[in-house]
Amino acid sequence: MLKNLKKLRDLKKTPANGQPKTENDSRPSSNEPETEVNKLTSLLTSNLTVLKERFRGSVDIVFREFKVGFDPNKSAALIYIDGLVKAESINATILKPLMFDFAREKLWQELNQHNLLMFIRDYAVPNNRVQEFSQLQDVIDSILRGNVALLLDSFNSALIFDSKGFEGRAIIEPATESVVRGPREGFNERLGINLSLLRRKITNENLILEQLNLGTRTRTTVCFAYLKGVVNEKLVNEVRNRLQRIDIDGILESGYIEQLIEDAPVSIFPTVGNTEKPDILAAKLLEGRIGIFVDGTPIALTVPYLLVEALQSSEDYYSRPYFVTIVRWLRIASLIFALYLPALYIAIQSFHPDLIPTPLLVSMAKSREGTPFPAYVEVFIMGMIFEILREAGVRMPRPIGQAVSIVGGLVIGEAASKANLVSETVIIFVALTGIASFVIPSLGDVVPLSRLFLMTWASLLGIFGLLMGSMVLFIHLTKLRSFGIPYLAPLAPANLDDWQDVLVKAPAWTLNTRPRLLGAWNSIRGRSTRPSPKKK
Amino acid sequence: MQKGKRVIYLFLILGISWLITGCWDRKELEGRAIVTLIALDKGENNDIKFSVRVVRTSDSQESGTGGSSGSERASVIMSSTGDTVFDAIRNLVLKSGRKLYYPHNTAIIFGNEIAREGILPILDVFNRDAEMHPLTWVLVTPGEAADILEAQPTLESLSAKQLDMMLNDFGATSKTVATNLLDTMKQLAYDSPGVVLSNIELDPNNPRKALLLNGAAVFQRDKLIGRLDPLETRGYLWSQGKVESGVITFPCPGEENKKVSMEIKRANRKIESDISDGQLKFTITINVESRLAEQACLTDLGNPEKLMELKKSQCEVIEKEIRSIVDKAQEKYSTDILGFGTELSRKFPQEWQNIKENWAEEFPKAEVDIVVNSKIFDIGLIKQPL
Repeated sequence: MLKNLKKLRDLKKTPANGQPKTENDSRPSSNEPETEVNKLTSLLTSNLTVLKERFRGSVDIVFREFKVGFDPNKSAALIYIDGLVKAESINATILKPLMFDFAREKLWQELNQHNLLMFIRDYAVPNNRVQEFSQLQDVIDSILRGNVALLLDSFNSALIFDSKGFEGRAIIEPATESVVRGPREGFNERLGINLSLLRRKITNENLILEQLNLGTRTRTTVCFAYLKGVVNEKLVNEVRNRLQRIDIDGILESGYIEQLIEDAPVSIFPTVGNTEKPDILAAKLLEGRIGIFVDGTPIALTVPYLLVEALQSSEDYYSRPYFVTIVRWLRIASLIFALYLPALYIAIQSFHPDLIPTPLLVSMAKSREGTPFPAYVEVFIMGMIFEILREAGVRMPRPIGQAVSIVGGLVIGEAASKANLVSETVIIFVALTGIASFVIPSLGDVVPLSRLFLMTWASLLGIFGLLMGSMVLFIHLTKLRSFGIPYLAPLAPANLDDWQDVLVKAPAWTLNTRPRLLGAWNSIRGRSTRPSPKKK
Repeated sequence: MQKGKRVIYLFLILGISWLITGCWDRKELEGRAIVTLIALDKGENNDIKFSVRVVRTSDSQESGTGGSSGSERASVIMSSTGDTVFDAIRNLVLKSGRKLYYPHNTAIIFGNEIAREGILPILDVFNRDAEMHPLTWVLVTPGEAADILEAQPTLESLSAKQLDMMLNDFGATSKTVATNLLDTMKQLAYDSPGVVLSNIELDPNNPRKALLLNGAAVFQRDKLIGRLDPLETRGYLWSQGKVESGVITFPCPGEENKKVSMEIKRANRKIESDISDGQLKFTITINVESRLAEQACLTDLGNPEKLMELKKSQCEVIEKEIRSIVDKAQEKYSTDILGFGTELSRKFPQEWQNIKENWAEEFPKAEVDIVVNSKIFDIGLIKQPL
């Protein structure tokens, strides 16, 4: 039943078909009166009344009424939101031409005097982007987005001038994805700037940016980008469909979208990636992925997202391949450490102490001596304390950071083992595990959960349980899809060609094909050969 | 319903997995006592005395008590008696409290008396029990085995660890043997007439009790019958082809009161058997490669003639070592500890059927030839003594 209802609702929305304006129109807010005026009339006063009624006297809405060209009969009004527009630019490029220059304009006298609106649009106002709307909702939307609306008496449409000028953050290096080598710039909260950053990376008319307005209340601008000719068109349609299916009142961050379009919403594994850097996004588009921008957040989404992406970093591609390969192995090792180390410790020390060398066993046994809890509880408590410290470090104001590290490092680590509450071995393992999970930040929320899952198995059935838990985990991973692409690709299903960018990082001149499942549309990336000095 | 079915399967798999775990045992580390050495002796009432050396992990909690040194406090020795070994093992729990944990046991040491009565009945439980490790060393001591447990480690923190390293490195001298439980059982299983195990003692020159590997012990089947001194032991190892390295010393050619040391680098052996006119004949061929490691005399030994002399002396010394063990096996013990019978059975399977029955009488009568081929391939970094 519920499913059918949903389908019906989706069907109703389909005429929208990606066109943002009509989509918003087709969704009247339920608490508006039914007898609402939809179109502008040719009477300025009535239009203004309707608009004032709609904005209900919000303080930041400015209604500037004036006469065009010293003519008392030509009433006009500018409507805009204070703070979203550039006042100087309105004065100089809209008000001045209309009020003063207009009267002197001989051309106006000679031309057909009746089409004042056309004349203003084509001759009088030097503005870079002018639109003409007759639907009331369009006008309101434009005003809300920071445009200036010009209403003229005896015309039933409005001219919309672009004069956006709101404050925003500068382009700075993102704190989350810092690099040693590579571009430092990151996205910020303004969609236009983010799109321009991407444009500057890919100078190609095939970079398509499609726009939608999502959120019935916030009407947030959402934009998705892809490279035509590289991307699989089916994927584009799928992304467009999933975005259009979103029905929510507000979208404040790309995380809302991520949760509303992902393939496996109940899985702990993310099937939508995100990045804050234009170069990373450009690289993903070049591989045939799709990027999704949301106005108001520096985090852009990338789909499809595969597990191997968590083990790659943009710097891998900017550095020479040898050390990068070792670093990739280190990341894999860190992932394995972060997932398995505590579980393995619990399994071995509770079930299979015969597996470790005698001197190690003796020192482990010595550190366990006198501690009150079983190993599982010990690791669980220490792991929880670690997560608390981490969370405190994130939430806390910067200047107090020192205090947390003192309390965390000294009191909890040192004192807990001195007081015989936990063994030193556990502290080492928990610390190592914690550090290792920082190496793969994009799986930051997956690793602690999986670790706990494996730990529980290990504490119940030892290494046998650990294997069972791993099997459950791997079966789940093989089943996962991200926008139709197997999550473990190219490991499973195996595609040896793509492995040159998974376990190793092959030199740039050998990476001539796109990932097969993603870039099947156009799999040839380039035809570079091994660089060699030309023989004369 | 597809989904409901899947959930049922999942729970089935998870549920069944609990039942197929087999033998498992969850026990926290602090509930276990790690046994590092086991000693077996004959008890006073003709029963079995079972002693273990256990690591005392709770040691750090009571530091500063008593005047004993750290290593002594790190381990404790416990013993119990019982009608059988397993009985004695279980009786030990009456004294220990903690569950004794055997997989980390390094060695099983037999006392002289119990070894003379036969070790097979005792080793049974060590093969049968899942906790016992087949790679545990098996050793014999001339006195009470429990005394050996008292030994203090010199360089390691655990005496068991030290013993393990000593036995692993037996090839550096080839003056003792290293036999583990698996080897012992294999030899006894193949109807071997004898076993040779390493002989362990407390170093008489060390006032603090220290371990010392001293030669080997010879068993007829599973009963101790005698001991080999270090050089006889090497003779035994030559005959088995188990010499890894070692030092051969003999008088310097030309200067009889000074000595030369040769380092064995590689060695192999071949045994050929022959029956002609009812006379058994075995030929042991040894190929040795060695290097001149040290000379105490001042003669220049680097020239070809002197090297030939060295080679000849080396061959003689090796032959003597082998001859001593062959004679001992044939004349003193009348026991084929050298495994000639196995060789014979391989080459003459039919004849072996007849000889097998009275091999103990035939073996001492067999003629044994020893051929040693040696090669000196290196004289070290200096050409001649200064």
